[in-house]
Order: sequence, then structure tokens, then C-alpha cells
Amino acid sequence: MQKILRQIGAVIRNIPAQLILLVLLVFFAVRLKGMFFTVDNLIAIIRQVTTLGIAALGVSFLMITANLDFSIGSIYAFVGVFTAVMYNLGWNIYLAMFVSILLGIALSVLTGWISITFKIPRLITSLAMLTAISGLAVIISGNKTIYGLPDNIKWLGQGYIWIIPISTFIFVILAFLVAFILNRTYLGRYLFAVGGNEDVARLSGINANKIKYIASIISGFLASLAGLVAMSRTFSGSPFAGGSLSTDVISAAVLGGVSIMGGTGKTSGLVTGIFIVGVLATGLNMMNMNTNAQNIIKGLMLLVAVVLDSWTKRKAAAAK
Amino acid sequence: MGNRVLNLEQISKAFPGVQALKDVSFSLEEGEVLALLGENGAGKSTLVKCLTGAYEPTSGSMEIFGQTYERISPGEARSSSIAAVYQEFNLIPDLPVVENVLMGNLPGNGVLVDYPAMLKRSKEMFDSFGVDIDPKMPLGCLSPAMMQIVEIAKALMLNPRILILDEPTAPLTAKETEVLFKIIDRIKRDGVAVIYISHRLEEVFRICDRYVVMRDGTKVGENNIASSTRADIIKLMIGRELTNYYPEHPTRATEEIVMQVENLSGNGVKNISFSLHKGEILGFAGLVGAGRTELMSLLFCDVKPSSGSVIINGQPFTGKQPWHAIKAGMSLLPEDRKRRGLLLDKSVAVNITLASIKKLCQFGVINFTQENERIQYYCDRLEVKTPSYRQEVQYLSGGNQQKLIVAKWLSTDSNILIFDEPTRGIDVGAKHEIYDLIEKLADDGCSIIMVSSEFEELIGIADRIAVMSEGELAGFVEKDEFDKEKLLDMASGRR
Repeated sequence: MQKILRQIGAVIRNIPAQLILLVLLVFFAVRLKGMFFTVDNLIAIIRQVTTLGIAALGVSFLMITANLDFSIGSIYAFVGVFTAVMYNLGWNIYLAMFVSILLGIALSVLTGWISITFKIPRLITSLAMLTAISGLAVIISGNKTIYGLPDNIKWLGQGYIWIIPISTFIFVILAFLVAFILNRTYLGRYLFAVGGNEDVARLSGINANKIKYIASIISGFLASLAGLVAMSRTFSGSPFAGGSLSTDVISAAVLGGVSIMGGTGKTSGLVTGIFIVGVLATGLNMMNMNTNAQNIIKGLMLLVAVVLDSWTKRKAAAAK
Repeated sequence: MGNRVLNLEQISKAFPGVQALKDVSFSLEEGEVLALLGENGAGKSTLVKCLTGAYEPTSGSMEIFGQTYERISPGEARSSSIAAVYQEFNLIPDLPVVENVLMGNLPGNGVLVDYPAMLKRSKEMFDSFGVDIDPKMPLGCLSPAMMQIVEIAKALMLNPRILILDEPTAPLTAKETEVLFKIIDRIKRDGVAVIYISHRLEEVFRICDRYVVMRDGTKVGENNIASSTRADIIKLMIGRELTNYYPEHPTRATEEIVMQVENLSGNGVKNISFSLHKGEILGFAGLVGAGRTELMSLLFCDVKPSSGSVIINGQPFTGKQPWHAIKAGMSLLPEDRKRRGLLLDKSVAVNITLASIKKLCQFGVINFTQENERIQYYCDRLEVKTPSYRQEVQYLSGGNQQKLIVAKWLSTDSNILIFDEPTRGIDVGAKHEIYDLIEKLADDGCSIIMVSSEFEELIGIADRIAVMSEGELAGFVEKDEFDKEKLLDMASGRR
């Protein structure tokens, strides 16, 4: 039985993420008739995957170095709340955004510092940080969504160039930039080396901790940027905005071939993974499935993704 | 005596690329202590692992108390009353001694553990040994010697009929060794058969009845201890005459000193001082656990030394991390090349330029043309055989993998290369190529430190050999005095 399952797993694993996306698109197109493939709906999907995608690009840096981070959802919520609160206290909006990004980066670096210094898996420290940062966001917001943001930040989350959202342009540019860093710079090589085998990386003269801090900075920055885009789009700062973002982002990355064990991952796969998660969420919403049922599906999706990931890794290990 | 308890028939074991055991046959009788002898890598541990079920023999059969097995599972080995004490501890430091001793063998009614009975049984065991160990103490508080006694007690708790001891005296001092010998004497009288593995021949002469010598995975001789001399046994262990197996070469060592190490201590090694000359191949000999790999970790700044100093090219070297060592021109080819030397699931190209990629970048962006030129240059120079530079290195042979690591370091312009067991797990033909390569590097003016557990290899290739024993430098042997027996004596701390 297990053997059969394993074979099925191997077959599924060899199907590119692109095919999974195609199947989903066909399924929703048939199921929702003409409602799904409308220009408005497709743009809605693209806009929805933008914030998810920006955060996922960031966390992929951590995942490639074999560090999982579940605190990005809370950073994402925190920066929105902090910016909105500070603006309402009389700060310049751009100053508030700038400081909140710095804080977002600082929180991510702190998570990294704790796991590096005390040799604790980042998965665990980030869970602790998730709880703490969410609590902080609730306290500074007074447990409510903060409104009253100025109109001059609308462009970030609600602006369009022709029919394409500005935030989507930002995402596309970032995706190309990330692909460039991973494939064409020595930083990319170092990230993969540290995630593939930290001992080998260190003994080859790579400052593994420095690379992990760089990944932390990038991840913190992009999670904050995603939070600000979301703040601009909803025109408010909500301490509850992060929700399932962390799991969504990790599912997207793993589905796209970024291994949770580190050392592998491609930007093209990652972007496909992001669309899988986005299309699924939009489609299920349009089918009027309730949020709890959607959460079940999201949870199962993450499980399936990591099980398949583990199978491939073990198969590769067995080949050695 | 006289009852045969174990009979091995033509046991062979092959690992990918290596024939670890070939047609080994011998038998063991009740109440007999059999010494299993041979150099490091002769196949002793592999044979033991076949007996305890850790490995599955490729062919051959084992008859244990009249029952014939082609392979045996760990459970079957245990129910056949075979127990083994390995070189590495199989104990849990955080648990109390008593739970370690009775691990997997807890007395009780199937649900609840009978703790008082456990305490009583371990206490009795230690009393009978004449050692004073408090069974309630966490194991981690004990000295390595006492841990070894606990390990032996754990094996005896299973009431074995065949007991295998793999280098049991390595962590023991003279006093505890006596304790162990008394235990062996006692169980021998009870009819337990013992397989005793040791490098220390005087122990073998003291407590063993018979010996089997292995070399390169085969049995090369067996006899009664009483009718043999030390010289006979060493000759068997060392075996084949030194021929021109190794490249002929004059020493190229110059007067110029590239590295001077003074009183380096830490990481389990004490007071190491030596100098390395330009163009020299300095061998480091010693038994397993002598501290050679640990010393190399200190030199390469992977572990911080507690005291001592290193001078490189006349400048004091104060590096704290491997990249400082690399900058100073050092490189390390680690013993465990698959886990510490290579990114197995990455390409030949990525592995070769891993340590030097920064130099192939402009503003952090890799110049692929330059990178390819460099990869091609080193693959040609070292004759790396690979279908393409995109091939994942896990699919290359051991020899080619080793060459890749050398290529990686040459492209950092390294001039002090530390080879830690470079030929381990590499077949004979590829070994030649590695020797040639090392000689060529020395010709080019590199200085080489070569750690090896095969004395013969060091004698064949080194210009000078430093011998380590129990974390200390036992002495140096110059090329005109190279002699295997002398090295073995120094390495086992005898002089």
C-alpha cells in the first residue's frame, strides 16, 4: 500500500506545478461557467496574489537557506497597524511607512538572531515571534482596525497603469530581481550552498550566519512591503490582516518546488505556486465556500505539498 | 571447550565501489577469546556489523549455535545471544546510568517498570566488576572510561553467549583495563565466546587464545596465540611488500617554512608544535581517535584553539573562521567528503567554484564565461571525468569527487592543502591518481599535510611523518627511517 502511494507520489511530483495550475483553471472555468474567465476576475486574482507573492518572494530566501518562518503574517499585519497609528498621531505618512519597514526588518532579524545565537530552528522562534508580534499589533491598535489614512497612499494598493494594478508591476519587477539574484549572483550561490549543506558552505569559506541574516533582512523587508500594499488597498491598518498569510506563502513556495529542507527552489516555480494558491482562494470564494471549509482545504494543501516535498527529497537521498 | 558456537563461511560484503569483505571464514568455540586483528580499514568493523545484523552480507553464510543464516536481523542476533560493544558509545547521556544499562531490556510486568529491580541488578553488576558507579547518576557525568564500563555492563545484561568487543580498551586507563580483563576471564570460564578487536598487541597476548588477521577485507592468517610471536602477527597485518606502488620521487621540500605551529591545544589535542616547509608532503599518522582530524579543524579555524599560535609565511595568523584560513592560503579536504566537502545535489560547476565564485564576479554578478573557463581549466588539469559540468556530483565516483574538491581549492590559489584521509573509500586505481595528484601539487610548490590511517600510504608518499597518539604528538619520523612497525609502535603510545 505504501509502495503504491509512494509511486503515485513520485508521478505527481514529476508533474510540473504549471500543470496543477492549469487543472485548477480548467476546473473553475467549467464549474463557474463564464463567471471565472472574465477580465475583471482575472485582474482580481492577479491583484490578490500580489501581496501574497511579494511576501512569498521574501520567505523563499529563508526557505532556500533551510529556515522556515511563520512570523511573516504577523509582520505583514504589524506594519499596517503601526503606519496607520503613527499617521493618526501626526507623523508624516511616508515617514511612518519607512519606519514601519525598518521595524519589520528588525523583527525578522531578531528572529534570525535568536535562532542563530541559541541554535534553535527558526520554525520554533518564528512561531514564538508570531504570537508576540500579533499581540503587539493588537495592543498598539487598541484591538481594532485603524482607518483615516491619507489619499496620497492609495496609489500603492489601488492605483492602475492602464488595467494593470501598480502593485502587480512592483511584484513582477521584484520577481525578476529575485530570479536574477538567485541565478546570477554569488549571493544566490551562497544561499543555495548554506541551505544545501551548511557545513560544506562554512568549510568552503562562506560566512553562513551572514547569509542567513541577509535572507532575514530580505524576508522582513518584503513581508513589510506586502503589508503596506495591503494597507493601502484596504485603506486601513488591521491587526488581524495577517491571518493565514504565513501558511499560504509557505504552501505556495513548497508547491512551486522550494523545498522546506532548503537548497532548492526556482523563481518560476515559486510564481506558479503563488498563482495556484491565489486561483484556488478566488475560485473557492466564487463558489461561495465558507471560510472554515476553505481553511480545511488550505491546511490539506500545505500537508500534501510538504509530504510530496519530503518524498522527493528522500528519493534523491536513496539515490545516493 | 570444544563446542563450536559460531562458524562463518565465505562472508562477503560489497558497498558501491568498494569490496569491504571478501570470502572471510573462521569459527569460534565456547569459552574462547578470539582476537580479530588488522589495520584500519581491513574490514574488522564491517565483519562485526554483519554478525550483529547492522549490515547484510552480500554472500556467504553464518552458523550460529547450529542455526544457519544468510543474513541476520538485529533482533535475531540478540535472540541468538550475540552482544557487541562498539567503538562509538551507544548511550544516552541525559538518562541515569541504570536506564542506560538496561536499555531495551527493562525488567517489569509488561506495563510498569520495576525500578528497584533495575537498581539492584545494575548495582550487582558493578559490584561484581569491583567498580564504584552510582546507578542513579546521569550517564553524562561519568568519565569516558566509566562510560565504557557501563557499555560493557549493558552488553552483559543480555547474558550473551557471544560477546564482541571492538577496541574496548581505547578509552580505558591501565586500572580499568585490568577490570575489563577480569570480567573477560570470568565470562570465559562461564563458556562465553569473545571476539576481541584491538590494536594493542600486548593485550591480545595477555587475554586471547587465538587470532585471525584481516587485510583489505580478506582473512590473511589465523593461529594460536601461544605458537606465534608479535613479529609474526605484525607481518601478517602489514602484508604486502612495499613496491613501486607509489610514485617515485625525491623530496621537494625546501628550507622555506610556510607554516609554523607552536603549542597548539584545544578540541582534544594538546601541545602540538610542528613546521611545514614549502613543497613538503607532511604525513600525519595515528590510530582512530588520535586527534588528527581534530587538529586539522583547529588549523582550519573550524574550531577555536584554547591556546597556542600559528605563523603562516612569517606572519602571525589570527584567523577565527574558515574563511580567514582560506584567505591565508589554506584549504581542507575533509575526511567525510560527502557530508563536509561537497554539495551532493549540485552540479560539478557549482562545486568547483563554490569557494572562489566571489572572484569571478563584477558587482556581485557572476561572469559565466570566466567561470566556465576556470571550470574547464581545472577539470582538464585534474582529469575529472564527468559527462558534463552540469552533472550532479552525487553521481560521480569517489575519486572524481575528491578531484572536484581539489579543484575547488586550487581555484582559491591555495598553497597549503590539508588532505584528511583522501583515499578512504576510493578504489585502488583512483587511489593512484590521487597520489599522483598530490605529488604534482608538491611539484608546483604547494605544501601538503596528509592525514591517513594507512601507514603504508604515508610511507609511500610523505616526505616526513608526524605521529599522533592520544591527542599528542608522539614524534616525527624522517623519510630514511620510515618503518611501519615503528609507526605502529609510536601511534599506540609505546615507543
